[in-house]
Amino acid sequence: MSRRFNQWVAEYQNQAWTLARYLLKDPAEAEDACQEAFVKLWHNRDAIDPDKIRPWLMRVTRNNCLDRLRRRRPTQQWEDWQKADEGPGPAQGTQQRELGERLKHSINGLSEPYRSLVVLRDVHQHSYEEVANVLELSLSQVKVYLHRARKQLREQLAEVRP
Amino acid sequence: MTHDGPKVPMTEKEQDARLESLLNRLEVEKAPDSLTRRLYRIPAEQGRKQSRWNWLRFESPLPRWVLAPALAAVPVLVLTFVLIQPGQPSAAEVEQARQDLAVAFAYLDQAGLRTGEEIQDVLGTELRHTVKGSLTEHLPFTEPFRKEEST
Repeated sequence: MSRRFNQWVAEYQNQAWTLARYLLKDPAEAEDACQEAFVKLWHNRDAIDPDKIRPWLMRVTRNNCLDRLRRRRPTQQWEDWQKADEGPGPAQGTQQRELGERLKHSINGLSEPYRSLVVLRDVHQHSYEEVANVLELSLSQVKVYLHRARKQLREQLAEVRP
Repeated sequence: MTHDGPKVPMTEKEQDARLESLLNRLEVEKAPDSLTRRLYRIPAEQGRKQSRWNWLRFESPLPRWVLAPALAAVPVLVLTFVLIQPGQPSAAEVEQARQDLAVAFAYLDQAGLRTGEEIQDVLGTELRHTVKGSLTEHLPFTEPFRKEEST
């Protein structure tokens, strides 16, 4: 059983970590949130359909992160944090690497569930169905929200001249 | 001195293409080694925690699904027990008890009568006289007194 669990760790730890990093920003907290998610996975290992381990784990990781954010920040700060980041000014460099950093920053500035949507769909390359499962949204909601999220990113990147 | 020339705003299509290419370049980050070590330790750590509290867990050779009907049977048993407990008798039960009591008294009356008849048969009329008449009439040492009285 523990061998199977170790396989899951090897397979999904990077995805859980990336999601937690985008959501929490603080690496120490992101590690804790990931560990909590895997502990829950260990306790529920017999109850979860093996084919649905990944969406289950992503959902639990995301919920852990959101819980931590709510605990960490009083209501007003949480709302402020949810609003888009100001980010680096458009006058910054136009190199591709800088553009990449700018994009990461813009993703971090997205509010929920847009940020999780972009990370799961565009970074993790999950299918629309899987994203819908993780975020407990309908398929059409996923498509609409993702469209809005990309529009926001596009607008923020438009300020940066190539 | 370089001359950048006039900056032409990007079309929406160009913006889309640029975003797409940038998103495609984003990669899943590698989890730090410290996290990997923590995750691989989970089975051992959780196993230790579980064994520490194992004595509190209900261990049974029966399969787990047996617990569900067993637990469901508990309220049924409690209800049955409560219903079996003596409570206020119903009107029918009171009436039945009254009839049983009447039969019992009738039986006792009959038994009393029979007993009286038996006594009468065995002891004869002497006892009846004794009981009915004066006690001194039937006692031998009271004879002289009776004669004196008659004279």
